[in-house]
Amino acid sequence: MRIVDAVSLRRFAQSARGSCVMIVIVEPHNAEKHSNLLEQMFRLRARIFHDHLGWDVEVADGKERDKYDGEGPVYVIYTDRHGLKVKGSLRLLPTTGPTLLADIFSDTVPDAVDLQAPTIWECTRFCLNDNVLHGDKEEILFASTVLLIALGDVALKAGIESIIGNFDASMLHLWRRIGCEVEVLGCTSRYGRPIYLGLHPISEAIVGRIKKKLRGAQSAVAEARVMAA
Amino acid sequence: MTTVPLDSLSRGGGKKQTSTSTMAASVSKQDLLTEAFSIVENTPDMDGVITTLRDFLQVDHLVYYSSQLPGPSVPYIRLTYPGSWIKRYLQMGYGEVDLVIREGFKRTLPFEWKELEFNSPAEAAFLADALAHGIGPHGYAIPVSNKHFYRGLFTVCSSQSEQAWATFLSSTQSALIQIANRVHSRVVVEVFGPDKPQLTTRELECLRWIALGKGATEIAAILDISPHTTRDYLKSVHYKLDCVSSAQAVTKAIRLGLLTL
Repeated sequence: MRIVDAVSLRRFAQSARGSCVMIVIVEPHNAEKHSNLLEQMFRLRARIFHDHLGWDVEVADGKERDKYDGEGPVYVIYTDRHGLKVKGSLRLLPTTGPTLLADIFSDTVPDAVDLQAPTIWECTRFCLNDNVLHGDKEEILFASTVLLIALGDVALKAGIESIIGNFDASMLHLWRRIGCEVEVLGCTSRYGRPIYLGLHPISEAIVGRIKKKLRGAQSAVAEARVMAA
Repeated sequence: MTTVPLDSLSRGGGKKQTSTSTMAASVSKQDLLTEAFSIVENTPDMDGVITTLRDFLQVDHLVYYSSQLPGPSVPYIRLTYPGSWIKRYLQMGYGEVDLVIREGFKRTLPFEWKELEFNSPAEAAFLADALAHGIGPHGYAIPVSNKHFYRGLFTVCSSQSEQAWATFLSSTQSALIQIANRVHSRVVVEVFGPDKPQLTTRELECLRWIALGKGATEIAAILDISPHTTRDYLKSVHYKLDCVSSAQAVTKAIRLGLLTL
């Protein structure tokens, strides 16, 4: 089933695990309506990227924002079933316009990557809520998978065929575990620890395969709960 | 306004379009793109580009808007709307309630007009009036941008049946996105002048192998990367050089002095 909006994702998740997830897609036109979620997201990004990962990012008033947030990106936000609390989020920009990765990763090795095409978009600031991160591995896997599926479905609907993204070694491991076919194009150590640049193909087949993993992940979560009870 | 049938524009012969068949049904996607790109590149003026593309795509209307240029200037708009609607639009001050434009410049993903939510009865009345003048009800809008913060909006509309529109959109969506971007690139050159394309080492490497007769799968094996990644490097080359195929890109890159064999 193609997830094209929050309603159909909710139905999918209900059939998958008997509870609700919600995905909210925010662009400038509906940013005001979702200002509470955006506020939470910017605060989450500050905690994860600045406090926890120690990346060289600007934080003001407890929120992490950069100039690309002013370029009208698409935010894909995973919330609790009431649409009130942010559990994870990511940011999407078309490579035809100004992008973080083209600007910052111009010194990536083995050679500069500056992919630009209408069907290639960049995903940055992919993160999960610290509550989720402090949970068990299966919860993290489940949340990451839900957010990736949402990204996949937004991409399929918009005719996007590739996503270029940045991540560290542990995220790369997670992507592959979830079933992404990510190819590492380069690496930069400009910010201390190595950050990779990767290219994810998007297709019905790939998104479908990840959806099947979701069912696997959520039953592992259910099992863990039964054992803990 | 005369309609120029697809087969007279693209190639000699070929099936005549029946009223129920979609253009995409009898033309391959690559042929469609090649013809559309040729229209954008070779038609002398932008009004001609928009009109010819509209006829070629067999939609009712096609509009390209761009964001405000820096400094005092009028917005750059090229459209196929009839004079009667333009007059009505200005008389009624519809620039204030045109939600397609308003939302179009506040959205980044392509969207259908039916996804728009009304904020006021005036907006609903505007769309009803537009419909009465042959605009819509179906529309698809594609926001476009470039590296220098210059944005545009490319939109097509149609009065086909729901079913025919759905078929048209699903078979033509990816071509429309490419065409929208190609039109935007032409406008950027017209407004700001040409820019020298910058190809990365890897992109040039892929292009060189194409020039030497290799296909994407072979190049992938040679460079030890996936075929998908190879095709993406080539897509980036196509986009940067405003080309629709790798063969075209090789010719252009040589001409621009970016590639020497």
